[in-house]
Amino acid sequence: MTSPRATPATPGEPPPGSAAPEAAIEVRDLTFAWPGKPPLLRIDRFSVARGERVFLRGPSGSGKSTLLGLVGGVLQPASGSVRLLGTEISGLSASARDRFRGEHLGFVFQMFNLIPYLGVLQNVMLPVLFSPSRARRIGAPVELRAEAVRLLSALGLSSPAMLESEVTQLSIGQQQRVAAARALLGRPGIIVADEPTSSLDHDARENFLRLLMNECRAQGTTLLFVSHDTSLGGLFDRVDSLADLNEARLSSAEVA
Amino acid sequence: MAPILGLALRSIWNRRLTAMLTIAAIAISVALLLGVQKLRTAAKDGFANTVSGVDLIVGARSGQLNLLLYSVFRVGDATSNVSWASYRRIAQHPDVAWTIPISLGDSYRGFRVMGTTNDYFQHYRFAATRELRFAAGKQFSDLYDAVLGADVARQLGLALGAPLVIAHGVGKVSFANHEDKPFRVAGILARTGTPVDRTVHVGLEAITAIHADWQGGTPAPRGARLSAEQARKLDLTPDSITAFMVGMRSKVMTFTMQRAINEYRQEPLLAILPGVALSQLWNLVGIADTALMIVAGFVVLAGLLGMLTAILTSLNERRREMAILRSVGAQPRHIFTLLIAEAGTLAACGVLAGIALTYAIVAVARPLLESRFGIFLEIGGLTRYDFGLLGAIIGAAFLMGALPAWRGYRNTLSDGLTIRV
Repeated sequence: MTSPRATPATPGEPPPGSAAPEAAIEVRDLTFAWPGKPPLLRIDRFSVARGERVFLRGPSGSGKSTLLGLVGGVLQPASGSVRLLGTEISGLSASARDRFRGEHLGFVFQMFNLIPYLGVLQNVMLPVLFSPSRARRIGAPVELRAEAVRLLSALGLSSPAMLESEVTQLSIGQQQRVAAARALLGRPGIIVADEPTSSLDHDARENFLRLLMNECRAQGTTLLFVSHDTSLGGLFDRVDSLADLNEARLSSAEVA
Repeated sequence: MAPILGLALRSIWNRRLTAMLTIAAIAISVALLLGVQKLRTAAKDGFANTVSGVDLIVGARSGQLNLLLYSVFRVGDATSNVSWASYRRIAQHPDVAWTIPISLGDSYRGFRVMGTTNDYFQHYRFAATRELRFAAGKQFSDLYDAVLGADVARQLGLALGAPLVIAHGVGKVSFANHEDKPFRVAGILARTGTPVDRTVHVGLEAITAIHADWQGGTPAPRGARLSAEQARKLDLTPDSITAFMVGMRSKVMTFTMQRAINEYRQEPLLAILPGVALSQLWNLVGIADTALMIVAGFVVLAGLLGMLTAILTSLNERRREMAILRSVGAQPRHIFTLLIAEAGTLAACGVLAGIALTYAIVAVARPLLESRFGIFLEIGGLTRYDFGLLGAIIGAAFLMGALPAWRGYRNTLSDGLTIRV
């Protein structure tokens, strides 16, 4: 189910009138297959404009997580290109892709988002361990903690006691917000959220999404939100269906 | 690298119970290895230090180890004696500077009694050049004087002037004692860390005196016995002795003298070089020593395998952790480094704890080893060899850590940002 204003004329293309000169995410002629398996993904074109918040829906097993792996630069396409924030990441070396991911992408997963042996603030500040440029974007090292606290507060976690608590003592909803704060730290260009609300009840889900979107809007961050739960689509600028984008599925369906 | 090490430490702390057990297993195995190493060094040093300054040891012809064992270590018995005439003839040889006659065969409450002369206290050396020193009293001045080794005096609580009755034979329990000729403690030797500490020394003539009225290994009937005072009036020159030690005027003549004694026609004698015999004996004992080291090595291996198991079993449950690290920009090599740093940290902690445990055990066991076995354990620093062993353990831990690290690395590559468990 998609909101009327969110449905574009062509799947994967930005809405008419989008002013973004260069897309935040641009996938072209992409194919991907696991070794010894038929092609899982064949996407002719999929793009997300800068600052846009896109909901990508698709049932389990449709290749959503694989697409995120390709966008995150962890997987390499068999052919085609993945361009993020103007950089052709499919042409980069593995370590350069890792660095790019650390600097420009933030991830929120479905569950188990946090490192259990780090505290709340340490989990939020984790990205700067691997990305000095992300740390530099925040400013001086002393500002790092302040920014982490600010993000947590913006996401509804302002209790000082909570900041000092073990992450394993937090509720799932609180853990998701800590993960969102971590993804947003250092103003990455793109946030990728992989079914982050599937463990939350309806109210918590909507509350979490609004907080996340507000912060994305405030930071000008692009959001690619992947889920099989279509009820959330109305909150996004655009809704795409992976089933419509993925020609590999279309072909196999036609053959069947 | 520093952030990865920080993460490794926090990760270990998060699994502190398992980590503590792993560290304890490594520490115990390291302590065992170091302990065995310290013990064998101490035993070897003690062994080599047992006798020095003696050029030849001469006894009845048997084997050189047998002669060394009974004359120096007071272990076992001589197969035959050396006649007094042969002894005197060799002792009077112009190339011989001094001799120490030894007469064995009796005991006092489990300690061997050795008949000798005051030359023993003058010429015997141990630990290269150290002389026998009196902690109390002095050498023999009366026929029935006894000089005790340090352990004998301490363990039996004997002080100067204390009476003692020597038992016939060397068994712990004796049915025939020389109670009619009691001795008096005239001197107590300072500790040497050699079998001297566990020996009761009496004069050579005293051995003749206490056996003067004995026939065929049994005492004379009560009426035919000689009193201690009567024995004093006898010619107490022995007929034979068990062995004797020889100091040459010139070391160059040692081999010539050794050959001459070994070819001595009047009596089948054997002259041995103590250093050579000690080395041969150590080689024999060294087999057990090597076996002990191999066992200790396997215990270390078991400790490291425990660590490997602990890390490997935690790998699967940590795949999401790896995916999170990947999502924030960690490269597979970071994951590899993280896991191998954990193995290295556990091993390093285990080794440090093992060193501390070794010193604690040495401090506690030292007096016991010293009093029971005459083994001196030095609480000195670690030797280069010890450092080599410890380095090898940490190196082995890194090698073993490479297995889970490699699996973690492979998981990371295949999992990417999603986990397929």
